[in-house]
Amino acid sequence: MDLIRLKSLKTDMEKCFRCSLCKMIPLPVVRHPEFTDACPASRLFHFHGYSGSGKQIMALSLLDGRIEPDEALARAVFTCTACGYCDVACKFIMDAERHRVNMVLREHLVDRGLSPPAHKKVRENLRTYGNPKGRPERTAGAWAEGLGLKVLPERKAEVLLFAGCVPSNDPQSAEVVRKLARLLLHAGVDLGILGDAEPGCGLPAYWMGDRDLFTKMASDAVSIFSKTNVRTIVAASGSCLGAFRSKYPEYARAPDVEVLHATEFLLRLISEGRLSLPRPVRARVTYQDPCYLGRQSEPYAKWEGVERTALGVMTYTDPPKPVSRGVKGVYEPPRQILRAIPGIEFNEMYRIREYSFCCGAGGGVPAAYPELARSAAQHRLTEARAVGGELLVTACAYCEAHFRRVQEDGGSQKQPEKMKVVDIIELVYEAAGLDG
Amino acid sequence: MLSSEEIRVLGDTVGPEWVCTDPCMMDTYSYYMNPEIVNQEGSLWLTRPEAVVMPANTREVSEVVRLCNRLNLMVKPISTGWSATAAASRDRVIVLDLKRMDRIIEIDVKNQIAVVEPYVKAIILQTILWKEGLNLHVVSCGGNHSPLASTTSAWGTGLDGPSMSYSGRNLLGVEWVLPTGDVLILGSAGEGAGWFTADGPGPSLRGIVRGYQGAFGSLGVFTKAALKLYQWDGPPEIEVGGCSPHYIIKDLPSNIGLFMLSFPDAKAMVEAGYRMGEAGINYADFRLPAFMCAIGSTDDNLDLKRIWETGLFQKIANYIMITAVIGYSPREFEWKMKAFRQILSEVGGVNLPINLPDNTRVPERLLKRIRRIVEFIDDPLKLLRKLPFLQDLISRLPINKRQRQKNLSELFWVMLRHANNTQGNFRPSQAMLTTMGTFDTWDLGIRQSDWIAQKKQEYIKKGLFLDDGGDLGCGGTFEQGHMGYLEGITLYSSKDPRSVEAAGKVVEEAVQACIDEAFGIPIAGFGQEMNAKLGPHCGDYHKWMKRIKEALDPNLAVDPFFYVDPGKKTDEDDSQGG
Repeated sequence: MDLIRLKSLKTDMEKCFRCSLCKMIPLPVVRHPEFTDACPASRLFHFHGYSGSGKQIMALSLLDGRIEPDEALARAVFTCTACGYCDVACKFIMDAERHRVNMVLREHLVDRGLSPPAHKKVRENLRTYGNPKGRPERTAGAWAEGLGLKVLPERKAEVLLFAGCVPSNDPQSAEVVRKLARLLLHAGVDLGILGDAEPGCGLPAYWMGDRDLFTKMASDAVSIFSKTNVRTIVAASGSCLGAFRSKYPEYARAPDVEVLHATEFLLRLISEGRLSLPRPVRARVTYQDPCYLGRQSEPYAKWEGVERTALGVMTYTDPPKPVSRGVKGVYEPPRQILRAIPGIEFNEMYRIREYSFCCGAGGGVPAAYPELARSAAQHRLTEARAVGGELLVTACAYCEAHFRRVQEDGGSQKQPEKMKVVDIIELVYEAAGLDG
Repeated sequence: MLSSEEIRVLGDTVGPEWVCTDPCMMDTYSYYMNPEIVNQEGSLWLTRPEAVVMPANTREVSEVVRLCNRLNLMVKPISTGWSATAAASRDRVIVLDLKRMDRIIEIDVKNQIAVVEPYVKAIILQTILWKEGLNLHVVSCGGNHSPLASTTSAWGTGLDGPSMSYSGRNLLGVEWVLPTGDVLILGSAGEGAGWFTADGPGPSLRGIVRGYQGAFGSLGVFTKAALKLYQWDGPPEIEVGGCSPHYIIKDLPSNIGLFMLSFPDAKAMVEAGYRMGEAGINYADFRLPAFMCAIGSTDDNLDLKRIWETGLFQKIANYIMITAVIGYSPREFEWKMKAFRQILSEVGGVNLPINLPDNTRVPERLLKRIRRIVEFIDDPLKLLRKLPFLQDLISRLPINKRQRQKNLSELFWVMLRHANNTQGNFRPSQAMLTTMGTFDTWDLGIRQSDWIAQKKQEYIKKGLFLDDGGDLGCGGTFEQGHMGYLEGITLYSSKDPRSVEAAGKVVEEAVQACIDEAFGIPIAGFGQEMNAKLGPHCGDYHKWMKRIKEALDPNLAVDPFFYVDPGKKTDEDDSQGG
């Protein structure tokens, strides 16, 4: 397999000078000594190769012919939740791509047949069923039974609600999407769904380095969306939004309609006075920024230009290359909603927004390296407790289900008291008074 | 390559999961800052270690070192590991990555002492200390460095030098795994009397532990260090808003003043440094060269190019000192500010208004106009210099509040939180090196800076170094102005072999100039070859280093990289009888 894609990123790799800032949150925002780590893998496994910097160096070593693609390299590369924090950290000072190098390195290893065995199975499931878990327990549209929603494209609607694949295997997640649909109907939204024809967004294929599969799934999904003639697509899960807004344009093409996350759309309805939240919800909550709703949903900006030299040896890009620092993700809408719900006491964690700590659910890590996935979630739950949270709110089906499962499984370590984890839609539903 | 038996015994000592020999992982320990200058052939890769081992405590460190003595291996200890001094120098070296040893052992608030393990980072310790009204010295590479490493094994000075000196001065004791594997606790703590001094009872070993420059891990492994702490009159914590790359402090306490001072010439800047130090006014200071001011004012290199080419920074920022003033009480702050203004007025310094519009994203047309105007004005700050009241007046104008807060924040991060420091210098050309710089007097620093600025011009003209105007001498005063330091930074390209070669050459020329011009021992003057060059002019210290190494490390079980290899002769050894 060729190394063309990896070679095109060599300049970025060479910009790593091993300062290790990718292992911790930006120094100005350090507030609590226990919560400064930012890379789940580096925090658990410690060897430098597990950090963002380590992966740049290993990619460079591969290009320099010093190492061969092998199982050890694959382990170091795939024990990463693909959360993209290292990219944010580095761009605090440099203009180098980190996350892209990590992902292209994965793709190269997959091309060489060095995917973790658990990922091979997941990718096969995606190819066959469009769902990472395999044949879903329920069909893609089963969550909507009894709601009387219009099924597109046979019927027409202004807004398409994209449920995502998690509800097909997770009743709790299915209930969240049902509540979202009820909220939208309650607000008078002209709503439709794709029912059993809803495709997978393909994000797990992206995470697992299957470039071809992700590109195909993205292209298929965009084609299906095009046929619906909707004005807006509302993604129930943050993970799907990150795929649509940031990864589809990079690997395939962007959906040609407005794509919003549920929190963005709900906030719009609230501001337009179409949805009100009169009922108090008494809870001390904290909020988990999902990586693919936050830093990884920053809209992709294609750049075509050249690197030039000035002042002797200074390099610059012409035209200026847009630097995605992860700050244009969806951060405010969920917070504004939480603040709009009466009775809620909202405390932020120490690592938030673009420097939020990943829950461990991404990157295909739960399937291949459950120890890492569990460790990240437990560490985050500790932080949530440390700020006095009794309810951990998130806005991504992957995060919510992962936190829940980790607390149910427990693992070998002694666990503190369980913390309730909910999707923000549940709180909105309750505050809107729709739960009876 | 280690034998499977060697890997097994290492695994028995620290746990098999904490021993790694995978080539891909080893390469992440053979790539550091500035490797191409260390490697004569210009390669980015340094020696690949045989293994990386991660001990969890002093006992494990000691056992690994003993094993190395037995198995004819060497250890190379690293903590946060950034510069090429962290690399292995030869085959059969195992890196001891101390990342798992990250405990703060003790903070003695009353006696102002912290005892830490190797991987405690400065920013973490500082976060805790501020809440106790205490602070620690942080070297200029920033808050993510290891204070233990800096204090025991390397050299470093930081922006808070005026109030907290430099790293080597703040060592109050160590727990030290000697190259034989024996554990020695140095100073009062060795007698069970607490960590209040590294000296005595009996002769002090502090000079041997680190000397002037530090031994870069060549004399064993320091597993604990006691650090001297200082009073902190700033806030216990700071509320932060904004987002990357500009995190904004919400409120600056009224007892803190952060200033950007521009002086008409080097003499005035030196004088101000001395006077402020003598009066005890400056909590932190730093001479920020014009090109670094320009880097700090921009977020990308194209903007940097555009504003640098106006020539404005070269006219107003040639002698800039950023300064922090902190008062214990409102009265003390008031007094300090009075003295500060008087000194500034006497030496002709200008407190630059920081609420003026941002330099970036200015239309090209306007930049061209600025360039034309600047060409005809020698001293754009003349009016402000003549009428000091104008400086305050402009600063107080209720304009550009956002800009003012942004600039104040940057000064806060750089001087007091050490959160945005050296790393930013890599942005323009991805490679940076340093040459001159000694712990000496403040005006000697200026002389060094002038020398290196002139020397760099030769290479800048050939297009081999970044054209930063030549003068990238940065540093500050410390110990109330008794001492000072200016480092001669060069920005080069690691991808251009000619630039790399020039970088290596300028380092050698700078070291030679230190001998010829009696500039002192420079920051670039470490490693066996350099020490052998400089030693004969400074009490033959290189010979003492060799004796120390031989005495402490009879089996050469600790990598002597960047210190001294007793078995290796240099040209200078031969010519001067070793």
